[in-house]
Amino acid sequence: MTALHYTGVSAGYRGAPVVAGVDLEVGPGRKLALVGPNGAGKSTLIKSAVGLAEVLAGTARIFGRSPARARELCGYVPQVGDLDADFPVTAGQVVLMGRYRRIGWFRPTGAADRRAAREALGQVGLGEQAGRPFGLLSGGQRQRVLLARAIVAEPRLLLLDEPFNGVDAVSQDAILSVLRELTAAGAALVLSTHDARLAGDFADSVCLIDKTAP
Amino acid sequence: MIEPFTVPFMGRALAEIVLLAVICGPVGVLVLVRKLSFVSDALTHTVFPGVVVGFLAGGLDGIFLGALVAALLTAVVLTLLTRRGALSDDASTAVVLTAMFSVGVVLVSRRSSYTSDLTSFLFGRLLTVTMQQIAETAALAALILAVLAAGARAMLLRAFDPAAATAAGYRVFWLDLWLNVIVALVVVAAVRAVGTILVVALLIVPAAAARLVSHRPMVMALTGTGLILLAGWTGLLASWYASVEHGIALASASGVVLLLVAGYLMLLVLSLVRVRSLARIRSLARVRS
Repeated sequence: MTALHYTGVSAGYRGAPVVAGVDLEVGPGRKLALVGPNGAGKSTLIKSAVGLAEVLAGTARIFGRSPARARELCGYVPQVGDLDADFPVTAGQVVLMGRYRRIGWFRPTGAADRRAAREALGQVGLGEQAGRPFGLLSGGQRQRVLLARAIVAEPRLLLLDEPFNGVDAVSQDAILSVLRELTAAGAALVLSTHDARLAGDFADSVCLIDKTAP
Repeated sequence: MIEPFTVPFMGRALAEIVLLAVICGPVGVLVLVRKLSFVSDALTHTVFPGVVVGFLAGGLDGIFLGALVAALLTAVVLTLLTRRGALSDDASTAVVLTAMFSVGVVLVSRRSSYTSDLTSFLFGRLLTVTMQQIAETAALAALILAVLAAGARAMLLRAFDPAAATAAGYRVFWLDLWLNVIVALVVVAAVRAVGTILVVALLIVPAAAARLVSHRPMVMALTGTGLILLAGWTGLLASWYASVEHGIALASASGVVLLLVAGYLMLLVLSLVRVRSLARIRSLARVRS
């Protein structure tokens, strides 16, 4: 089944479209890059897949369901700059947040959840940093922690919003390597970037987005 | 050090402080990370007309119900007003705070015992806490801890990364209402003992002090609770010895809050010294290498 299928989608906020007339299709194990200038609507498109932006027209399907009903199948990695660096939380706790939905309201965090979080952090190359405050990590390390938080939930569709913004070369290579492993294991991937060359080298298909909304 | 607490009213005051410490430590951490200090302050003020109406209708026993209704009403109104950013959090909070507080002052000023009533509502009466009040506080504390335990993880994620919380399927509005109601219940639990003004100190100061020494929410919650216990015990002792041994009138609730602030300042100095020492060690290490 197609992981993400958009037909004539307009997406935006509070009824006002930011991007319009988008057709997209991503299958399991495939990598799609959304490329375009700032303000073109890349982030809005990504957010529309997890209910953070509204689908105002057209049909959006995630594994055959509406975005609101497919949240447990998706992993979302926001832009790291949006987060409070002074928040009292360690890198390990941030990753564990990716398990909260699975843990539920009443069950205490178990050994299996903590082990999964440690493994995800190790997968992005930060296994030694679990106890470090999130705010003391570099921008690239924080982005890797957020990636670990998304993959600890074992998503079938991974959505990353500008994952390489302000990220050093080491972190970028680490992120790309993990993303290749995940797609090789069958996960579908959609990421936004304004780096067209990187998108061309990495992704199976590239969608160029310009200002399309009226 | 123990003897004064064998006197019944001192023992009851200490029991009340222990219950408040157990709930204010963890709730204070969520208030801090959600940047709800001003909302908590507003809740303490908006409870005021409820306290007055409750007192006018049912005497001292009516205060609890009046405060509860006013606090829950404010929690809902504040959450609705700040939803989708229709108003900025600060502006809407200030509007609700001043409106409700003015109503309280108008109501209380109609009574002949205006000054003493106002003082007890604003600053509480820690030393006149009854067994029934302790039982009510204990019931509220159990309720608060139960709903907090269920929602704390989701609220922490919402505070850290609201977009990720929404993407994970949490309803942010309900989480916000949930936390505001918890804060409202804490205010109700504490209002008769420490008053509407000082209750905010129990929520904000311990969490802010704990933040200076830890970056783990659980450790911060325990540190906050420990600080309130320490300040409560020493504050009550100081108030006892000042009054009984030296004839100096020292309000017990104010003593507790002053010691909390002193604890915050001590931890602030300690954390500054630690940061400077670490910076010096690092610069020495750089020079040697």
